[in-house]
Amino acid sequence: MSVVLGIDTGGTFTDFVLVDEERGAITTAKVPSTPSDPAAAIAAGLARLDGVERVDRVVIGTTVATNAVLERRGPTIIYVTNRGFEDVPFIGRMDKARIYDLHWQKPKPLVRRRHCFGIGGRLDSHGREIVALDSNDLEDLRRKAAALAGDDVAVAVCCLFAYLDGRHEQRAAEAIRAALPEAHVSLSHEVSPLWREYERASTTIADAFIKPVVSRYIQGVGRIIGDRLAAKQWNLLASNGGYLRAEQAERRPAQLLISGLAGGVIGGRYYAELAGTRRAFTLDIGGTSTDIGLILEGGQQYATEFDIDFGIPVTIPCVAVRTIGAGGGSIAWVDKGGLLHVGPQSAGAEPGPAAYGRGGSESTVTDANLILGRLNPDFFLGGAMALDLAAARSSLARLGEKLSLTAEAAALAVLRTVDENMANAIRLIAVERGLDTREFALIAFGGAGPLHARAVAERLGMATVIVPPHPGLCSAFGAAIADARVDRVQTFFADSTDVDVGAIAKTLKRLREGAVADLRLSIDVANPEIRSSADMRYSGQNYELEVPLPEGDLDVAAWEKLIDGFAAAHERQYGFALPGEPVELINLRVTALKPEPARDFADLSPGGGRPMTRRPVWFEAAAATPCAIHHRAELAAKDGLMGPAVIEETDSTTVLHPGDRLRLGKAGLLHLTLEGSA
Amino acid sequence: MNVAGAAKQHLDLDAVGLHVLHNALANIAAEMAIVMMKTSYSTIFNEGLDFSTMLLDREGNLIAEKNFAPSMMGAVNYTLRWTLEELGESFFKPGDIVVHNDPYRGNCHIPEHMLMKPIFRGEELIGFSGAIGHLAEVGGKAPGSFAADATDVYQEGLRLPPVKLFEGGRYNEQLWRVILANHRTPRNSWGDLHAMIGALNIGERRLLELGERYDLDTVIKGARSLIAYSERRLAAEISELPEGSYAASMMVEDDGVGIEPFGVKVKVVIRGGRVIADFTGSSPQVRGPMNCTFVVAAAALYNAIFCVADPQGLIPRNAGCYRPAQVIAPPGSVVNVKHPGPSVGGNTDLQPKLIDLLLAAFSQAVPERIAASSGGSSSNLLFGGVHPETGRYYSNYHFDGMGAGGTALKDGNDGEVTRHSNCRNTPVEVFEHRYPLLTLGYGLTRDSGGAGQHRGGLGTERTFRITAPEITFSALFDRCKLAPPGLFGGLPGGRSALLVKRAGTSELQSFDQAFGVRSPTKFTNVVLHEGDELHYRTPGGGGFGDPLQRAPALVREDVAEGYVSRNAAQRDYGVTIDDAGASK
Amino acid sequence: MRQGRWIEPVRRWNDTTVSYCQVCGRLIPRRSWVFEGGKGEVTACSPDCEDLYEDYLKPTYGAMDRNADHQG
Repeated sequence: MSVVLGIDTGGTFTDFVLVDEERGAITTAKVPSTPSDPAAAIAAGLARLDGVERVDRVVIGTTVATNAVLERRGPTIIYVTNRGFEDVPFIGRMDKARIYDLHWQKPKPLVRRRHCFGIGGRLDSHGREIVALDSNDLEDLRRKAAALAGDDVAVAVCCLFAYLDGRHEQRAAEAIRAALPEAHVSLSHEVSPLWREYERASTTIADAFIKPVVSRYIQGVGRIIGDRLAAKQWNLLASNGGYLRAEQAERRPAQLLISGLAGGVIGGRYYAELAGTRRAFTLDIGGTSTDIGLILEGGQQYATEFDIDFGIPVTIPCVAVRTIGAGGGSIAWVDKGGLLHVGPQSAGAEPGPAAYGRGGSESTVTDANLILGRLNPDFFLGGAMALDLAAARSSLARLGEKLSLTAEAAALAVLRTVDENMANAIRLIAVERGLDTREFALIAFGGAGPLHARAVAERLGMATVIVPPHPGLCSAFGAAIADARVDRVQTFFADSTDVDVGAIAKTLKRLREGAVADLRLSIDVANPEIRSSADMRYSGQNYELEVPLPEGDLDVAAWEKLIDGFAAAHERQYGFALPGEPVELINLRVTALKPEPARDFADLSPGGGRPMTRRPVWFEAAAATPCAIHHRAELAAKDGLMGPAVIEETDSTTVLHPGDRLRLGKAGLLHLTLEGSA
Repeated sequence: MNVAGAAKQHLDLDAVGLHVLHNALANIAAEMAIVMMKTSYSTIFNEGLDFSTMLLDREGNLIAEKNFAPSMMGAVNYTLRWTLEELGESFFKPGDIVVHNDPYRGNCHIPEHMLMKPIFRGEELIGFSGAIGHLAEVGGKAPGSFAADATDVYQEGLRLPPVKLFEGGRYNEQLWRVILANHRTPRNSWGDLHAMIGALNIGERRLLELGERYDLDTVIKGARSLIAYSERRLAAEISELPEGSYAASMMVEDDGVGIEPFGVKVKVVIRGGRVIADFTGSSPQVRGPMNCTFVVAAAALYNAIFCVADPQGLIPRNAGCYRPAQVIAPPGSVVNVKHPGPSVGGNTDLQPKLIDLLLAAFSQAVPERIAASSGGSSSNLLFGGVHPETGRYYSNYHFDGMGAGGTALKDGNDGEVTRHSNCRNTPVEVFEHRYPLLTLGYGLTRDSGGAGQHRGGLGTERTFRITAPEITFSALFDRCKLAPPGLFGGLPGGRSALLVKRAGTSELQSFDQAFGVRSPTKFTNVVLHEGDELHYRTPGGGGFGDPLQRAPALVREDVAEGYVSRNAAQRDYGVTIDDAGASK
Repeated sequence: MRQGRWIEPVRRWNDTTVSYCQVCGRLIPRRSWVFEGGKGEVTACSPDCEDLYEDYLKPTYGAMDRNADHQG
């Protein structure tokens, strides 16, 4: 039993959740983030949190890496590749983000063209060296690199087919180090040994680019933690939803690129399990964006690629998350033809919604929720910030004029539009995986998730919404309960018509050993759990299906079983299989992890309730409905309740529509059953 | 199973309700597209995304679409309406699926296949689901069905007027046998047609489900209102453009059979919230396959109007968006080919130039919204043979990006797909896995961006070395002799080139020199051998505005970044840069 | 005021020819709209094309000679 501290460094707030496994209790804190020195917010939060001296593990999720890429703050990058291919990062995949926009600017990579250096040497598609890399090339590279000595420089090396053999990349790295001994060097075959040179180059460049900011973050936070806590080591949450010792994370910074998003899904997965549901979507609605995750058969889903932005793909094993630009701060507007839109522009925190009284005058989703009585102007963030109801109403009245609607009707229209946008985003994920949303529950968190969840669920035909305790702290909670985990993916091409099973087995063994060795750098573990799988497809297809590999060494019998497993998976997903058709193996995947034991919490509800009150809430434009307003902490005394109702707590607000039913679940979970569902 | 929300929801067809309905319909089209992408066999679908999916009403009017390929929007607007008119509504029975690729009856070119499925409520026809896509191989004189020297449609592939693939839910086996017997890679055609059929079935199911959720009559009525809304909205945007008549013309270098240039001409008339594009005076149809069908000329006009009037795509895309546009395209001309004229390259290589031509006309009305000419060629390469390592037959349709034109606001993008499509390139590592060609280089071509106050984007260059005993090559390139023009004093973009270096020689030759083909860039079935090298460049974008108006600091940056040579900086921009990089 | 009339030619299913609107160039899938253009009858795809002819084509290029293609 241990005491674990999860921290989430977000753009606006830094959140803390201290999980005391022995007592089955949690303690929380929330402080404003300090983007110029993220460690300062961590120091402030630790000072406010009781019991930090007993902490023996710290796991931190962070958006510092993502933000550095989005804001393009980083060192000068030297990019090294095969001569003749220096422009690959600039050409990309040649497609456009907007088809008809003549003025659309194709994003520039994080490297300048003058710093792209070609070298000789070439491998073929089997990894055979067909042109040797000679020492003149390397000497030339060394000289070019030396000319940049003194600048803030990091280096990315990405050669064709390096995922099959990294030796040319290593020799290039040696030449660079001879010239720039201090510079960080990222090699594509280590960062992301997957085929498709543009995506691998983009990932390797991002890895090099964020290295300084990640190192500074780790040093700064490390000092604070060393000063304040007795914990021997501290960890970062990686994009794959597992944690790594901070020094290990620093070695491959690309692993942190979606660290901040992974925590929410891990937390959501835990609460889905607690609620007894194995299939769910997680809905994390914040101020400017909404993150959607998927829980299938009790586990979060994984992906190999994430677009930080259009034009900056990163291929790293990561928790599958879809982000859309809609949140509490999204601005509602009417186009020339009279149609209402919400977002993607956001009022952000400054000036923020009209109700913040900081000079924002445009209607946002938060303003709409406020004037409809769903948000309490005196209890936003637990009363830490007063909302200006009059300012919100006049902004919506102005919007309403354009739509010939009352302010309340306009506010309802804003909510319908944003709810529909979120439902559509979930529907598309379901479609891509051949899932029926009606069979899923919705786990809602983030400050605004529980406000909208019920309406989003209705649009998707879902019967159940689950609201975890402390919905605004779910990402920090996810960091606290994450497993230590290492994922390795490697492109390994094989064709069922001519397969060398021994070669596959050898690569698989090497991947497994590497993953276990890496895991042991983060945590002391004798027998880690190892999972392996293969990405396969029919020869000619372009999308692979992931098929689990049997444990132990791969032999011919196991390979044949794998082919059958693929056919079964294809049948399940697409409704048909093609027996006898050639099958291709594309990637091998290995995961090594130390699963944390299942935890049980008696009650995670916040204490200190207030008595029930009443206020009018609009569910339809004609009239407001008198509505019971509960504080979440006093629900424990109740047997459940019927909507309409509003449940308030410090960091979030849950809305029940007329006819919805609510009961309390394990650990204080809110189980909401939609009107009309069994 | 007790399903929440199974009870009908009320949908008010007010401004908000219409938007909700539009999202739901567009979502169905998107879902159809995903099914098609994930299950198809050909890279042209699953990597190139050369297809679109749609829902249409009972009269064949587009309700909602997922548009990956703007070039198909003309066919989307007309094919089903014309089929309904020709054969009557009673032709469509429950469980039928109709296929159609006839260029003279509303399709883009022979490879493009439109599939249509009627959707019924009981006995009553309520609408259609549709899918249109480029099948990779449909027979004809050249593997890949892209014959750049075809002189009639019969050399281009198998032509299908509207006929039934499925009748009453059952395979029309007789037709399938004909199709599969005439395609070189029937297994791919089987897989790709089924990917399209899967999309149609999903579209049908989801539309009926939407009707259960909101009441089908409300959905049908709402779709009609949405079409009227989009028409009003686009007309309002067009009304903001200065009324008048704006003419432009352009020469195209050759047609693949004849080697003389031919002209296209347009007069754009903006008045009363409508746009007429009158192509009268364009060249009579040419012998080679550079002719457009009527619907391709129409797609070019829709494309240009959207670029000018709704670049962000805010107006719901449905039949209403096409109504304010009127094409006049004389039959028997290069913009409206008559039977039996060939048309495969009209879609890929005349269409982008028609878009640029239309934009040049619009530039006289709204210069601030326009870009100079893009490279304007898809740079089509087709090759096939037996792979020496696997012993299996392969064939591939390959294309590359080009430079986009400089605009009133910014430089053109480098290495971008043509205006009429949004396909992606094939990674070198994927390409070399599948085909016996080694890529020796892939990059941007320096100085190929047309000089201008806003520079044109750079075209790309690529070199392949053949590693199989032999490969059969066909090509359809353009802009090799006549460069993409600049606008408002901007200079032309760089020309394309397609050259060969035979094994054991060091000389680059054009294909007419090396193989005696008529056009150096448009030919069919040339055999290359191991060690031969193919070198090619795609065109750059035209410049926008006088290059002397470009800030010298930007010219210096372009030289430092290698986009522009020092010579060109001196010659085109009047900026001298010394060895230290300083300018005078 | 439109003057034209619909004409529906009898076409057998085994007739593979197609015809086009003399005003805009579109396919005439089945019936055609025929009106007097000043120098003889014009065969069009729809009544809208009679309007297009009167409002735009005739003022721009003069009356269409029924025996010649209109593009000149």
